[in-house]
Amino acid sequence: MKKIIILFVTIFVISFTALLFLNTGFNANSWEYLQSFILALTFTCNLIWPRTRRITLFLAVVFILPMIVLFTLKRIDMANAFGSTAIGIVSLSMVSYLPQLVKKGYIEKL
Amino acid sequence: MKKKNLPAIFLFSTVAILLIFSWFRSGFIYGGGDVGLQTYNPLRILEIARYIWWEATAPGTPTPQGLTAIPFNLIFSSLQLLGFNPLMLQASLFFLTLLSMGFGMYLLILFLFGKDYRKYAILGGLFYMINPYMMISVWHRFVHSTFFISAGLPFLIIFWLKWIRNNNPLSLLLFLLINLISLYGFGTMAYILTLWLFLFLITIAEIIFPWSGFKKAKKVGIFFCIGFLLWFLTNIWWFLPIFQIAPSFLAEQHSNEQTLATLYTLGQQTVLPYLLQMVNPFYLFSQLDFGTGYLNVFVRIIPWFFVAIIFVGLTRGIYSATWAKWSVIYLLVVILSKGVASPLGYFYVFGMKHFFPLGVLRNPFEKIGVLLPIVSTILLIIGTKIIFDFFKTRINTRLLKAASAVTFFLILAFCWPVFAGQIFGRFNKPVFVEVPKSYEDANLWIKADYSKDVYTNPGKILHLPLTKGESITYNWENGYSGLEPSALLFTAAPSISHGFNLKQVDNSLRALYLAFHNPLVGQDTILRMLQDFNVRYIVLHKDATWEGGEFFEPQQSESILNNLAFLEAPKRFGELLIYKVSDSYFKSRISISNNFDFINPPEEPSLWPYLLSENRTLITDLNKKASDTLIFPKESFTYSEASPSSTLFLINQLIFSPNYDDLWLNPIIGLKKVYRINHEIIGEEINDKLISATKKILKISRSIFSENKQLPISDLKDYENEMKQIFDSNSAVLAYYAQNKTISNIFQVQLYILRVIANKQSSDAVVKIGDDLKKSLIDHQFISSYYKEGQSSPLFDKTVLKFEIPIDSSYELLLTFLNAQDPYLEKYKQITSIIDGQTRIFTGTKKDYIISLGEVFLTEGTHEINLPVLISDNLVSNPTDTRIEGVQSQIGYLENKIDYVAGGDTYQISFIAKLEKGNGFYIQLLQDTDTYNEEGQASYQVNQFINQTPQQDWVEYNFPLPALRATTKSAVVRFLLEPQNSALIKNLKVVRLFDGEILLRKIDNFQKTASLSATVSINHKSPVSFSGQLHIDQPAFLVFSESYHPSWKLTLSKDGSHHLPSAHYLANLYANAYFVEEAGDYNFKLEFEPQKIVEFGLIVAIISYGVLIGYSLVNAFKRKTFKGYEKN
Repeated sequence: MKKIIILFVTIFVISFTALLFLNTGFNANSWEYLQSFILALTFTCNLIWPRTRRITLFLAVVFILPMIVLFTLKRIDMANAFGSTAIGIVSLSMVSYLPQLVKKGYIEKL
Repeated sequence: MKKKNLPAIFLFSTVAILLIFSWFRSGFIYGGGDVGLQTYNPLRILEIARYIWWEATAPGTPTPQGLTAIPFNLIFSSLQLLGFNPLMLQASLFFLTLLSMGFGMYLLILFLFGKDYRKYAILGGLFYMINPYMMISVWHRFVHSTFFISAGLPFLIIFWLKWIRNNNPLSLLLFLLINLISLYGFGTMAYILTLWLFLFLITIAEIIFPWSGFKKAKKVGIFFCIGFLLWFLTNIWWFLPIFQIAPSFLAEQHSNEQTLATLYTLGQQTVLPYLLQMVNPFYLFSQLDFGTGYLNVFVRIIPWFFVAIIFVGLTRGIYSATWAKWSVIYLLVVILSKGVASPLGYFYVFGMKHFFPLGVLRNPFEKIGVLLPIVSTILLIIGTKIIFDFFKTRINTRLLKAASAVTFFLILAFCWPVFAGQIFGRFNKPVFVEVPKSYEDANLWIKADYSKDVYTNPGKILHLPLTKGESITYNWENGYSGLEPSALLFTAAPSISHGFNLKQVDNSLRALYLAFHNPLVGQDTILRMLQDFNVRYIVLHKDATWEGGEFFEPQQSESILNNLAFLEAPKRFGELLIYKVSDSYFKSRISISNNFDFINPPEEPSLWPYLLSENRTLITDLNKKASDTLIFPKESFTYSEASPSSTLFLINQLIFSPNYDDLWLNPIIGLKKVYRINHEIIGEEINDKLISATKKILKISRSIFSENKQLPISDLKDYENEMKQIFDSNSAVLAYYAQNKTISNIFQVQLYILRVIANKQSSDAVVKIGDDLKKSLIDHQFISSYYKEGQSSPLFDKTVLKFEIPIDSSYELLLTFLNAQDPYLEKYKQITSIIDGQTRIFTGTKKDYIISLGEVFLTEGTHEINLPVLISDNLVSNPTDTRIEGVQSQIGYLENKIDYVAGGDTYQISFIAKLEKGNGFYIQLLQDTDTYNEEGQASYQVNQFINQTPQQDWVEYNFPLPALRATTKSAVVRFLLEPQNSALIKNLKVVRLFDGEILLRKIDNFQKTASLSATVSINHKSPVSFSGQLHIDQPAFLVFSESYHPSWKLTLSKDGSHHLPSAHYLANLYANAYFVEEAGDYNFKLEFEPQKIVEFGLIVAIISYGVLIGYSLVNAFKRKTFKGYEKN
C-alpha cells in the first residue's frame, strides 16, 4: 500500500507539474489549476489502476453534457472549461490505452 | 473512372452547379478583403508571378511565394484566352473546388473503408463540401490558398497512403501531380507544414497501429523519406526561393510579440466548444456576418448533432482495427488546431517563443484546422455507421432512414447561407465587385501611349491617393474594399499604388504621397520625387473613399496636380484623371548622378531628406563608410530627470512607509491587466519582473536603513538576476503602455538607492551592480549617457539624441516643422541644450519650415545632444474649471476645442478630476474626419472610459493622445458623463508635442562637382533583367530606381573584361545605387540573382518528374509482365 501511495504521489506530482506547464506555462487561472489537477488525477489513476479508465471516460462524457447546455446558454467560458477538461481526459485516456492500440491496432475492451 | 462512381460524380457536380448558380445569380464577381481580385485577370497574374521580383507592384518587391500561383494561373489564363470573362473564371474555380471537395472525400472514404461504404461515402462527400468550417473558414474567409488545400487534401491523402502501402511509383507520381495542381495552396506557407504534419501522422499510424515489427516500420519509413525527397525535388523551384528570401521578409513584417499576441487573441476565440463544431465564432457570433439567426438557441443546438455522431465515432471507433487510428488522429488534430486554448495549449507559446519560424502557425484554427473537416468527416461516417448498425436490428429500417435523412438535412441546414449564396461578405451586403469600365479605358490609353517606351525607357504609374497599407476602399457601383488592385487593372506599366508592410519602402512611398498635399513643398521637389521614383503617369482616383481614413481629399490633390507645369493636361476616364510627366522631365529607371548627398536616414523618413538636400541624389552607405552630409539621430528618446532632492524625498517615503510601494508602482502594476487583455505575454513578464525587482531593492534598502541589518547578499543577487533578465529580453516593451519617463523614473530611483547603499556599506558589489544598471539604462534608452545620479541637470524633461558623426567638422543643428502655423515657434528663439554633457544655449533662426539652432563642431564618433522636450502652450480655447452633470436622462458633457489643429499632430492631455456621482467618465477626441457606421456609432480615435469613484479625492491624469488623422482640420476634446452622474474637471491642458525632425547638416559640404556628361541606353528584358550601354566622363553613381535589395547585381563590361562594383548603396532612401569608379564606355547588366534559383529548381523538378515517370512506366510494365506470368 505504501508503495502504491508513493507511486501515486510521484506520478501525480510529475504529471500535475507537466500538465500545468503544458496547459498554462505556470501562469494559470484558478479553473486551469483545477483542470490540471483533474487531468493529472485521472491520468495517475489510469496508470496505476487501469480499471479506472472506464470511469474516467464516463467522466469525460459527464463533462461534455454541461458543455453543450452551457454553450447553448451562451456561457462560453464555462462551456469551454467543461469541454476542454473532457477532451483532456479523453486524450490522456488514449495515452493510457496506447500499449493496447500499438499491440492490436484497436482496443479490445475498456 | 469506374462506372460505379459515375452517379457520385453526377451528384456532386449537380450540387456544385446548383450552388454556383445560387452564388452568381446576381451576375457579379466577388472580391476584396486580403485577397483582392485573384481570378479577375489570370494572364496578368501569370505575367507578374513568373518572376520572383514583382516589378508590377512598384517600386518592386521580392515575392517568391507568388511562384505557387503559376500552375493555377497557367490553366486559368488558357480559359481566359478562350474567352472566359472574370465571372466565368471565378465561377469555374468555385465549381471545380466544390466538386473536388465532394468527390475527393467520397473517394477517400471508399479507399479507407471499402466499396461497401459507397452510400456513406456520398454522405461524407456532401458533409465535407458543406460544413461550418467550409462555410466560414474557407468560403467566407475567401483565402484562395485554403480553397486549393481543402480541395486537394483528400486526393493527396489517398495517393500518399497508396504509395506508403503498395509502394507503386505511379501513386507517388499522381500524389505529386495533385500537389502541383494544388500548389496555389502553398502560397500560405503554413500549409506546407500542415500537409506534412498530416502525412507524417497517417504514416506513423500505418506503422504503429498495430505494430508489425521493425521490418515494416523500416520499409514504411524509407518510402516516407523517398516520397518526401521527391516532393522536395519536384517543388524545389518555388521552395528554395521562398526559404531564401521569406524568413527575413517575414521577420520584418511580424515581430515575435505580435505573433504571440495574435496567437493568444485567436486562441481565445477558438475554444473547444467552437472547435468541435468547426465554427469560427468571430465571424458567426461576434461580427454576425451570417445574420442574427445564429444567436438563436435552437440554431446553436444543431451542430451538436454532428458533434455527437463524431463522438460516437471517436469513442466506439477505437474498438475496430480499421477505425481506431482515426480516433487518435482526430484528437491530435483537435489539440493542434485549438492553439493556446485549453487544454494543453502552452506548447504553442513555448514553441513560438523559442523558434520564430513556428510563427507561421500563429492562427492554428485556420492553418492546422483545415484538417478538421477531413478527420471530422471520417469520424462522422464511422459514427453514422455504428449508429445505423445499432438501430437497424432494433427499429424499422424505413423509420431509421427517415430519421437519418432528417438529421443529415438538419446538419446541412445549419449552413443555409451556403445554399442561399450569402457567404461572401456580410449576409446583407455581399462583396460584389464590378470594376468600372473607365479602368479598362484608362489602361488602354496608357498602354497605347507607353508602348514605344516599354523596353527602352520604362516608367511607372503613380496612383493617388497612395495607401500606406495594402488596402483601399473605392466607391464603385457595388463598392470595393480590400487589397489595392491597381497592379492588376493597369497592365501597361508597374503601379506604385500601395505599401508593402516593409518599413523602408513604405516610408519612402509615404514621403511621395505627402508631396502632393503639403503646401510647403514646391514644384521642384515634387518633380524631383517623381523623377526619383521613375514616375511616367499619375492616375488620380477620385473614386477612392478618403473620409475617415488616412487619405487627403482627392480634390486637393487634383488642384495641386493641375498646377504642375511639368505635367501634360489630364485625360479623364470616368472618375480617373491621368496626368503624364512631359518627355523632357521624365527620368529613366536607370540614371547617372555625381551630384549627391550622403545621408544617414532617420527611422521614419518623411519629406525632410528631400527638402533638405536641395535637389541632389540621396545616397546612403549601408556599410557606414561614407561621410554623411545629412545626419539624422541613430537614437532618440525622451525622459524626465528628477532632481536629487525630490528623489531623496521619494526614497525616504518608500523606505519608511512600506505600504507606499504599491501606490508608487501603481502605474505599472495597473498595466498588468492591459498587457493581459492585449495578450502581450512577453510585455507582461518583463513588467512583472520590473515590479518584483523594484520591490526587492526597496526591501533591501529597508533592511539596511530601517532595520539596520547587514546587506542581504542573496536578495541582492536575485535583484541583479532579475534586472539582467529584463535587459536581456526586449525591455522596450515596458514603454508600450507606460510612458518612457515613468519607467525611466523607476530605474532612476533604483540607481539612486544603489548608490546610497554602496556609500553606506562600502560595497564594491553594489557599486558594480549600480554601474551595470546604469550602462543598461543608457544602452536601452532610459537615461542620457551623461546622467549622474544625485546631480541636478539644467534640463528636466529632455529629448536625448545620439548622432554618429563620420568626420570632424562643423555641423548645423536643425529642427524641421510640417505645421506652418505652429503656435509656439517663439519658444525656439533661445534653447538650452546639453552637448556631450556640456550645457550650451542656442539661438534659433527660422527659415521657411526649418529652424537653425546654430553651429557646433563635432569630432568623429558618437555624440549626444540633449534638448528640452518641445511642447506648445495650452491649446484649449477656454480651459475653465467646470462641473459636468448628467441631468435626469440626459448625458452630461463638456467640449473643448483644440486650436491650431493640423492633420497628423500629436497631443498630450492633462487634467485633474473629482467624481461626485457615478463610477467614471469618458474622455473622447472628436475630429471632423470621424465617420459613423450604420448604427450611428462614431469612429472616435479616443473614446476611453476612466474609472473613478466618488470616494477618491482629486485624481491627476496625464497621457498622450494618438496622432490625429492626416486629413483632420479641427478637433475637440470631450468629457462625457452618464445620466445622473456628475464630476468636477480642473486644470485642463492640451499641448502639442514636437513631431518634426532634429538633424545635423554638415557645413561647407556643397563642393561644386564638375558637370557630368553621361548617357544611358536601356534594354528592359524582363522584371529581373536589365541591360544597356553607359557612357560617363567622370566617376559617378548609377542609380537604379527599383526597391533596394542586396540581390540586385550590377555587372559592368568594358573592353571585354567584366567587373562587379564593390559597394551597393541605398539611393533616394529606397532604391539601388552603385558607384562606377572610372570614366568610360560600358556595357552593363542588372540582374535579380535569386531568379536563377528558380531556373535551377525548374531543371531539378523536370528531371525528378522525368525519373519518376520513367520508373513508373518500367514498374507498370514489370507488373503487367509479372501478372502475365502468373496467369500462364
